[in-house]
Amino acid sequence: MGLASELLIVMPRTPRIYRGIALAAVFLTALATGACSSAAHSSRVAYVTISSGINAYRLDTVSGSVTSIFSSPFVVGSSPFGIALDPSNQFAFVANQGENTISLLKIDVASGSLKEVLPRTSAGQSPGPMLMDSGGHFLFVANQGSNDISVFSIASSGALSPVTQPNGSLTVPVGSTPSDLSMPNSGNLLFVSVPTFSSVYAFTVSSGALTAAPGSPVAVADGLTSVTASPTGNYVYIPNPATNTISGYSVHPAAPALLQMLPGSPFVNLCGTAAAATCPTPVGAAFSPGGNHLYVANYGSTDLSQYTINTSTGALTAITTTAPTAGTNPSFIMFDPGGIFAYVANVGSKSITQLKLNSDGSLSSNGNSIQVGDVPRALAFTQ
Amino acid sequence: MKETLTTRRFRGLVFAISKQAATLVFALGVLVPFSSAQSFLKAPTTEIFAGYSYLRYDATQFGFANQLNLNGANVEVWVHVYHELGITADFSGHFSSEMDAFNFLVGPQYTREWNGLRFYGRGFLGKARARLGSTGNSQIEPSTLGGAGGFGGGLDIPHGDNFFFRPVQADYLITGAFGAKTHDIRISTGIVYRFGKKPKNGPGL
Repeated sequence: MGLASELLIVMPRTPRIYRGIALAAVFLTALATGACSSAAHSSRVAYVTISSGINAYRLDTVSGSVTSIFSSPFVVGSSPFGIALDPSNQFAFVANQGENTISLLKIDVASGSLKEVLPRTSAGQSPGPMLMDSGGHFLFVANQGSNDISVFSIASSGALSPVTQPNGSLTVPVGSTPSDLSMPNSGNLLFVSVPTFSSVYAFTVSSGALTAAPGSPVAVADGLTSVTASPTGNYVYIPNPATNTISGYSVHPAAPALLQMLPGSPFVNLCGTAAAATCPTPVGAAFSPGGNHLYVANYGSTDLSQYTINTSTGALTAITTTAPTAGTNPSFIMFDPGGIFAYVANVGSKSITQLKLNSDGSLSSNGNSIQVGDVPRALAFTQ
Repeated sequence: MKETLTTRRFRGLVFAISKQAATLVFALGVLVPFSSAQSFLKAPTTEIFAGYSYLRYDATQFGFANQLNLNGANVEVWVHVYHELGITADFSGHFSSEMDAFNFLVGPQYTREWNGLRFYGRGFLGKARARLGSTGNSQIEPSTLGGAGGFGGGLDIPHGDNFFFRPVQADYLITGAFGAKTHDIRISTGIVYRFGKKPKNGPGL
């Protein structure tokens, strides 16, 4: 016999106050049951730097659905560029390229809001791309005006302290404008792309101190705009926009030259179902979280390139399923920490395209995209 | 060009008609209690409810990780109109560290006695104000005034001639906030006081 039926039988014999309370209890229980059954999925926040501030979006970790965080954009210093989040979701760091500083912001995970903690930390000239090691202990900053790299240690409060480098300075020179930074999960190597010199600088990293790796800098014959190290640190790939190729290197920490070109490199940049279709102007690359696949953003095409990596030789084999499509002029790709979705920043369409990672390593559209409204400069996710 | 002008005039006419209709509805809502035969002799029966209120606010619509739990107060004024029908004006304010929410609602209410208890259901329309308290370094004014609507009901337990204990009142509210629609649940409890006697042919125990 149901509770309601029992209640009806009992009710006439009980005082009104108890009847009322019993009915109220039944109602509230039903309401609570309904509320529990509609519990929300877990989510994370994506922060996108644009010229005027930081846009924020909440991402459902299962469906990928995107909700704009109403209170964004958050305003920091002048012309924010690089952004990095610590792995405990407490702090965000933003390079203010227009005023040579780094902002520390506290993250409110519940609301997604950012609140700046002043004062700002001085950086080199025109700080741009930033990178944090996986442990959240050090922040690496590419100074595009002073052509060098700064490293900061991160205190538990989020405060930054510059790390004195082996050369006695607070920065390490890289000759010309550094355009990108990349580091394997181990955090013991740092790669810096320098397009003006068409070269990659490689450093070994120890407690934030950068030491030039043997053979560094490495000349890249076909030009470059970015560099991408595999999560394991075994390989480095460099898209060559001028020749529509991808240069591949194996990493040998103990050898006289840290980076050694892979056999068959540079690889022709392919995309789409026709294996011979060359994709124009590759500029940015990203590894799948497992490190078995490589994805390339082609500035001259909305189609992305996707490859399976031979983990023994580093050779790239194009995945010939339908090419995943991004917006206009895609510039870089990032995976979220869950490794389920890839995000492609589109300069031309001022948007970010979300793609789903399939079990065969291919990416496919799930219909979600983020209209940023300005050129997305950098992207970072909470864990 | 002529067509555009005509369209504009037509739109203006529609707006004017809508405005007149809204005024008429408002006037009916306010005047009906006073226009009944009995209201010429005495004021309609009025009840006031006041009590604690909880609001489950759907802040995920504008980027929060979860729905928010807000606590506050709910005050209502109910005026008898005809038989079991009345009009309720409802005001509530709810607060948390993340945000505050206020609702200003009015609507018809149907009340029925059953088994020594008084049950009621109602619908609402009105306005809602939401104010965010945790926006960090935002460019945007963290306060919004939007439309609101909803429905709900509850039950009253009489205590003496003029008092009722309201153990539960639940409302489902849809509010416009920051360009989004939130779907919220409000639970209230408190005391009802009736001014005057039970209306003739009306609910009230």
